Amino acid sequence: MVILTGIPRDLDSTTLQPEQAQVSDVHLLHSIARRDEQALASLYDRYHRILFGLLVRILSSREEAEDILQEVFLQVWRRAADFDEHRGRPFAWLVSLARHRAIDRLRLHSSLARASVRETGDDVSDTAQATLEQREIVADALAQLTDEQKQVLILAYFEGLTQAEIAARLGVPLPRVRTHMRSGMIRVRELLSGKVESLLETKG
Amino acid sequence: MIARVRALITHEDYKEMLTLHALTALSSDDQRALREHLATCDECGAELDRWRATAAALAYTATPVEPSAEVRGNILESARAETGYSLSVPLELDVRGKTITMHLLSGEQIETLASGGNAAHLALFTLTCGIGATLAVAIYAGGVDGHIKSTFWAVFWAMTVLAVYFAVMATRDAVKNARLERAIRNETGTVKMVAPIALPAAETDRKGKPATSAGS
Repeated sequence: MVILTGIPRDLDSTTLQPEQAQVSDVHLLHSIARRDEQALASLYDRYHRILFGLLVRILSSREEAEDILQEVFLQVWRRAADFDEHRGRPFAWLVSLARHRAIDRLRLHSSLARASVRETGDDVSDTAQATLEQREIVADALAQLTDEQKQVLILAYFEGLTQAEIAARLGVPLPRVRTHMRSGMIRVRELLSGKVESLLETKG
Repeated sequence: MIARVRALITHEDYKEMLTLHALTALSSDDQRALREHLATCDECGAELDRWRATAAALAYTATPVEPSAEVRGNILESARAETGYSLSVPLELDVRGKTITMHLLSGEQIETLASGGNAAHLALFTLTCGIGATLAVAIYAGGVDGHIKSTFWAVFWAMTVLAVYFAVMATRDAVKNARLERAIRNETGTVKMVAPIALPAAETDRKGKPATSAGS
């Protein structure tokens, strides 16, 4: 993300050399809004692995994750013109779309037993080195949280549980769950803001 | 619980809920209440955007996984199939000198809005013609004399000039609409349209921005 989206937007794309890093995500979304299929393909190539990894982790099913991944990019195709770059990075928008859809699906099926076997990816090779670096930074930040903070964040983020469900699952009072979630998020934000500006910026 | 005591929730309470909202951890009642607040509070909206950015970063803790190869093709194929008259057309509008791109859901919607400008000009044309004709009848048939008569003449000519102006505007609108419609039907892509009409963005919630309508 730092490399892909950290390009000042006033730079003309022709002044930058590498093929992949040339066009900013925001620029891609503008092109998608103008019905540029190639731009949609480029955005997919950039983020499909990280988004699919997230969806598989949430849904525990490759099949369902593929469904949602398609829905997400089709929604991007339909709604790119509505994207407002002043309200956040395109990546944050993509993650938000993906998570909401996945969690809606999860809650829809919540009466069904969730798959106990969690599939994970085995190859972590070809995505840009930038992603690997981001992963390490975020993983480091998470590692610095207390166990309680980490636990509630993960239950909400990857299992789609509400605060009340988390309280019930862990057998702790609701206000405590809320406190851990808030303090955990504040801590993550503090830890990331010094290191990955472009990840957290909402402007530009 | 919060839904029942909604009236007692303060701005600060809502602000505290934003972190949980970014993690989709609120109950549906709380979510509904917060959304209502977000519709009216820019400060909370901006704060939510910041929490969403933090939440998005957590996606990096999932291991990247490669989906099946056909997913990419399916997406592009569906996208191509959706591009057409019936679904959506991006428009570049020149609003007070600033070019903005808007996305509309259907051709019918565009036609309705474009013909609105035309209808307004036609109505003004009819009105000015009517006033002018009334004055002419009054001058020739009625007993107006002296100062009043010259005033009537002046207003009559003013109405005539305005009527011609509105007729020209209405014709220009009609030509523009026809061109717009042709472009949409032929799917020629971006249409440049200059019109001082406010077009509603399709299918949006808080201020028409997509981030909040992600089902949050």
